[in-house]
Amino acid sequence: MADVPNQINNITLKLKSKDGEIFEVEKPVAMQINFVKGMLEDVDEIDGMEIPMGEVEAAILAKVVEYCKFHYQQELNQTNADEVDRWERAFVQVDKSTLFQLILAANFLDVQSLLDLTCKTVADMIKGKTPEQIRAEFDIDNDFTPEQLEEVRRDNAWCAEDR
Amino acid sequence: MLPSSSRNNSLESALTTTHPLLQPDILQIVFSYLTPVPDLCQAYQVCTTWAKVASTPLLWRHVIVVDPPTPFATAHKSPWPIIEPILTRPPRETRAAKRARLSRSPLPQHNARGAKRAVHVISKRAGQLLQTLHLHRFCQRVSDPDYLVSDEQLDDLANRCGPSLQQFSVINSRAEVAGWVSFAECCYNLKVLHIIACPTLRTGHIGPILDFLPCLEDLSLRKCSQLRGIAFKIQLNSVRSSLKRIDISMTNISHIFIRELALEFPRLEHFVANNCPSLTISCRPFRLQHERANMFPNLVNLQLNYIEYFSECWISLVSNHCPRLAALGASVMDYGSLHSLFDEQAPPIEQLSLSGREVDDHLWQMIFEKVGSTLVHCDLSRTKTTCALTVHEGQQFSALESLNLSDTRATDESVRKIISIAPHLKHLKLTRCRGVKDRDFRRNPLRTTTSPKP
Repeated sequence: MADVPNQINNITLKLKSKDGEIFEVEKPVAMQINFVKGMLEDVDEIDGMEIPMGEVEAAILAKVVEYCKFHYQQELNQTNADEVDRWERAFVQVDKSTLFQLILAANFLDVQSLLDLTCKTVADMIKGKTPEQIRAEFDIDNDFTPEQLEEVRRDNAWCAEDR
Repeated sequence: MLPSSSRNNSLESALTTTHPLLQPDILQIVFSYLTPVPDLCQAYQVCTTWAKVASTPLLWRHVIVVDPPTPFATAHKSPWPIIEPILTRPPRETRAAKRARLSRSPLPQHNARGAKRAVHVISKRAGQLLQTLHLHRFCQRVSDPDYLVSDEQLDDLANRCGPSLQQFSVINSRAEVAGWVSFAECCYNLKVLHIIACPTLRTGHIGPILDFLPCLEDLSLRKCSQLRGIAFKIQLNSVRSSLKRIDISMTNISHIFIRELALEFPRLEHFVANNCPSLTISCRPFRLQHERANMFPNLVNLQLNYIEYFSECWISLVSNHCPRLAALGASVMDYGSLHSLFDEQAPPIEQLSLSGREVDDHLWQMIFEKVGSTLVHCDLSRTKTTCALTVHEGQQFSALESLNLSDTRATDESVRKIISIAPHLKHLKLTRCRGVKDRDFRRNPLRTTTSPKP
């Protein structure tokens, strides 16, 4: 990825993952993370400060930073929509546990566009599946009582009826 | 995007539940990318958390079920196959209590299937947020009353959703006119109303329904077989200025008076009346020539395909009163009418369908000369033209993108000529053209021209 061009607020921030790894990120890139943005509002001197990123682990934080960098670049360069789409699709080609952790991280760090992207990926995985398949896919327990199950099935079974 | 209430409040709330798909605010975003039917319905049955989130009214605003939505719905023909171990958990409600509750609520509706069930569930879930409801797939089984929307369902919808509903489309409904009128009274914000194949509606009922719908823009009454006689009897106290699209295809309406149509629907943009076996369009009791010009200033689409009888006045209608007309369908119209239509100053038509026996070479030449420069889509299937054109210097189909010449007498030369003067042609259909001898060319005319054989 190309270097971020020099700007007035070209300050490097240090983002610290749960397991102690430090990510040095230019300020405009990091400002896409609302969590960081909110934290910086209360602080005057930010150069060189380490910002703890809560429970987010290094591998996931690296992905988040990668995403933010791409989006910062994309806004600067006005990358066309097709290319962004292709990049994003490749970006979410990860295993399920990484995807889940990304969702949690995006939710916690409040990166709205990343949260949307990952949630859309999950939605695409849900489409066209039966409840049974969905539970197996995402490892979710069925916690309905028999009566409830009967009721929700009656309430929803019509959607799958054929002509 | 859905608003999420409790994002980011503390570390624990975000990260203690390790499974992200059990957190309501994340689930809401995931579900916002699903269609209510069938995906959200399936998600509803996964677990209690999912059910709770999936019943958020905001997710149920637009329900459009027209075709089988996913391959799953058609491939999966067996009745519900899921029998699974059920986790032991104290029931929230005892059976006796539940039976008592159910006996209080109207039972027949609760057991209903098909469209009845769909309307019941969707209106309950979406409530005052329902904006779009297109229910075709669950109305297909005509023999089963559970699949047919009746007064009761319209009542349900009107009471629960009422003013929020903007688009409603249903087929095979058996609701009576009183049901429709009270439905219209409650759902006064309707913009789109498609009542397709409703055998209970009669011509006289349409006025009272429209009276309650001041915003209605799109009305379709396709296949309503009891619509007969004179459509749109003029009632000058009720000018329906909002209506832009009317579709009365496949009804038994026998008369449309052009002047009344123009007065009652001054902003008409699309008028479709295909396949009306007994329809006559006439200008009685007044002569059209005496009317002010441009009676339909906004009309862009006029489809009158497969109508047996045309009175003469409609040619003057097309050429003098529809200045913005861009799409015209007049299949099987008689030769004389077509001839005089393209003899006069025809409006700049972009889409033309003239399939049927009447078009011959002379007429095709006339069409080319009059509207060739503006034509984008053209259907001449089943005509008797050989498609041969005499092209003068500078003449061409400068905008033509698709052309259907199937089942005509087109020949290799005439088709190649057309291709040579139509630089933007993307689709050309030549099926059953016996005159085109080169088989590869017939199958794929555009490819062979772009890369000709050496």
